[in-house]
Amino acid sequence: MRQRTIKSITFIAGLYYFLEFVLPSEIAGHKNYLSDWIVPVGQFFIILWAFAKGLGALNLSITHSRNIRRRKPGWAYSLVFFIAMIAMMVACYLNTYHPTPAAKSFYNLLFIRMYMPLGATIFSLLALYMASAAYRAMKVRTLEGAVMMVAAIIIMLGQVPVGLWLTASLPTQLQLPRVASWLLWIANTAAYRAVMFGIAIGAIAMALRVWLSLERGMELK
Amino acid sequence: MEHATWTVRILISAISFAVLYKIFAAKAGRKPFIRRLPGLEAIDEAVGRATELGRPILFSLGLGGLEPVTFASLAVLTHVVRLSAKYGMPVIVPIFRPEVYPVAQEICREAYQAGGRPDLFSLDNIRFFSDQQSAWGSAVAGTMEREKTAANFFFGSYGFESLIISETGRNLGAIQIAATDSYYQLPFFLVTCDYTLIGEELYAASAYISEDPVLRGSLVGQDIGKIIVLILIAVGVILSCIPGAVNWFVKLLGM
Repeated sequence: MRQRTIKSITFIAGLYYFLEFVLPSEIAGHKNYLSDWIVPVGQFFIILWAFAKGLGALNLSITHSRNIRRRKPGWAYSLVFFIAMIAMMVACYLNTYHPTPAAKSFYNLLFIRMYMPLGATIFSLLALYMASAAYRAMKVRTLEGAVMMVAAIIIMLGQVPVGLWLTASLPTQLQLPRVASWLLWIANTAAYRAVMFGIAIGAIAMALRVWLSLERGMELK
Repeated sequence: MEHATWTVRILISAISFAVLYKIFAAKAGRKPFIRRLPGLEAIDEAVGRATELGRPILFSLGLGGLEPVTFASLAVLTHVVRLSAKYGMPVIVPIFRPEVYPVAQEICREAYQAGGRPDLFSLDNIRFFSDQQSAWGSAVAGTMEREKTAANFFFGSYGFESLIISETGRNLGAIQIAATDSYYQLPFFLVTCDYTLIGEELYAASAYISEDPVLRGSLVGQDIGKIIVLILIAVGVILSCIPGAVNWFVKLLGM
C-alpha cells in the first residue's frame, strides 16, 4: 500500500511538470491552465524544503547533544556548535526585526567578520591541495599521464608572457598562447560538450525510470 | 513560464520512446550487454578493504538536491550499505541538502534490513553537516580524519570542495571511488581517486549493479538518444560547410 501511494504521487507530480513544460502556452485559443499552478506548486515545495531544513537542524542538535551527554571525544566542539547556532539565530532575529545599530554590529561581527573569513579560509586551502594533486598528476607513469603533463605545461606557459617570448620566433599558429587557446576552446570544449550531452541524456533516462517507478536500485518497501 | 519548442518536444519524445522501447524489449527477455565499468566493480574491493582494516566507510551524496544525479547516487548507496551490512561495517553518509536527509535515512534503514543487519543502522551515521560548501567540505574532511575512514565514495554533484575532501582521503590512504556529473571537478577526482566514473556512467551505475534487464534496457535506449544527437551534430557540421545552408537548419532546430 505504502509503495503504491509513493508510486502514484511520484507519477502524478512528474506528469504535472512534464505536461506543463511540453504543452504550448496556448492551445487552440485556450491558455495552458497548468501554468497557472506552477508558482503555487513551487511554493509548496519551498515549504517542504523549509521543513526539511528544520529536520537538518534537528538532526545536528540531536547528534551534538548526544556527544555532550556521553562526553564523547571532542564534545567541547559540540558545545561550540550550540553556542554558535543560538548566537547566529539571535543575531539574525534582531537584525531583521529590531535593526538597532547594536543588533546590526552584532550580526556583522558574526556573519561578515567571522563566518565569511572562515569560508574564505577553507576556499584558500584549495591552492595547497591543488598543488599536491597537480604534483601527483604530473608524474609521467602512463601515456595518458604524459599527454596530461604536456597539455598542462602548454596551458600554463600559454597564459604567461614568457610563453609568447619562448615561441616568438615560430609562426603565429604555433606560438604557445595560440596553442593553449586552441586546447582550451576547441579540444576542451569538445570534450565538455560530449560529457554534457551524455549527462543530459542519462538524466532524461534516469528521470523516466524514477517517474515511472522503474528504478529498482533504491526501492523502498 | 518557459515551454518546450517543437524541436524539444520531438527530441524528448524520440529519446523517451527509445528508452521505454528498450526497457520493454528487455522485459520481454532480450538481455542487453553493458561494457565493464571498473569503478563499480571496485565497490566490493573497497568494502572488503574497510572490513579488513576494521574502519568505517564514507559515502558522500554530494551537493545535489532531490534530482536525477542524487537518485542515481542513492541507488549506489543502497548497494554499498547492503554490502557493508553483510560484513558488519558502518557507513557514514554526510548530507549537504536537508531534503535529502530523510530519503538517505530511510534508504539506509531499508538497506541494512535487506542486508540482514537492521541493528547496524544508526541515526548518528546519517549526518547533516551544513548546506554551505566550505562548512560541509571541512566537516567531511574532518570526519575522514577523525574516524579514519578506509573506503570513501564520492557520488553526485560537487563544487570546489571536491578536491579538499578527496585529497584528504587520499592522504589517509583510503580506497576512493568517485562518480560525478560536475565536469570541472572531474580532473580533481581523476588525480585523487582510485576509480572515477565520468558523467553518464553515474546514471548507468544502478543498472550495472542491479543487473536488472529492465534497467540495462534503459541504458541501450540512452545510447540511441546519443546516436540521435550525434546525427544532428554531423548534419550541422556538414551544412555549416555549405555557405548559407546552415541557417535553415538552425531555424528548424529553433522552432
